[in-house]
Amino acid sequence: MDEACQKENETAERVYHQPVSPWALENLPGDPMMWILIVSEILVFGGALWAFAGNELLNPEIYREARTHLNVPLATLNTIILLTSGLFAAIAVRFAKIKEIVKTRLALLGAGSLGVVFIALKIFEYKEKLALGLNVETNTFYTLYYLVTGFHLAHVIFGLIILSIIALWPTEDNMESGTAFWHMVDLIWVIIFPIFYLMGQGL
Amino acid sequence: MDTNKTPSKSIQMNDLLKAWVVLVALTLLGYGLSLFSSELLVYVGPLIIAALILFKARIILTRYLGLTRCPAWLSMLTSMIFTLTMICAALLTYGSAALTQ
Repeated sequence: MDEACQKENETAERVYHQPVSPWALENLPGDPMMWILIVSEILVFGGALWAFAGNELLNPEIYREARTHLNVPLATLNTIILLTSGLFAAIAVRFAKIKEIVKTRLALLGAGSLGVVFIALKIFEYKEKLALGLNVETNTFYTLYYLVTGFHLAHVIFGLIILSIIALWPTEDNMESGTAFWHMVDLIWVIIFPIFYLMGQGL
Repeated sequence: MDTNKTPSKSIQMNDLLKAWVVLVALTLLGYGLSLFSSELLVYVGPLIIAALILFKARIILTRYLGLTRCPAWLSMLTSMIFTLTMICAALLTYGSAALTQ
């Protein structure tokens, strides 16, 4: 009887309460501190993107010329890869909730592998630019390009480390916190990609 | 030897797959738009791209992150992303328009 009860408790999903305030932290997925981090990261990247867009007013010709060297198809492919990685991470959380540890780890492996592919393609893109002599000192466009995409890349690497840690201890709370960081990386890229690669071309 | 296997538990994935399909479709739509070059797109293009960013961000927040149970946080993050993208779109539209004149 006790064993059956224990099993039932193990498979039970986290119960979400009706919050006292709409701002209550208790119903946020994962650790509330992760959400403070997510908000601050959006603000940091937002500031950098405003600086990027504002600088176009000062250097419109430089921006127009610089954009012709961007590899838009490769960046589009990388966006799809990161979105698919996010899908795997979301699936991993669902498996963790029903205590399917092996499937949780497999889904996390899928998310992590696609993260590695994203890094490889980004490095290829940097190499392509450097071969053309476009480095961080070339002009304002490329200074901000390397700064913002490089900072994002650092987050992807850090996200991979977090995914590896939660794969070792795949509890529901760990999974929600860890994958929230991964989805934040996804979310930031979804904003960076169109602003750098799509807006301002013919658009 | 115990041959009884525990039945495999299943999860609902349809909503996640639908979200992923929409996200990929919106990404490809954005790429498709960047292939066109017209004077009208100089003014309207950044707004369309900003709308695509908002749609995608909203899907990630609700479907992937599951923020539907925290409406205040969902509204705050959506508003932040809206402000961020609209200011970028306005600046880039103004910059592109000044260059074409």
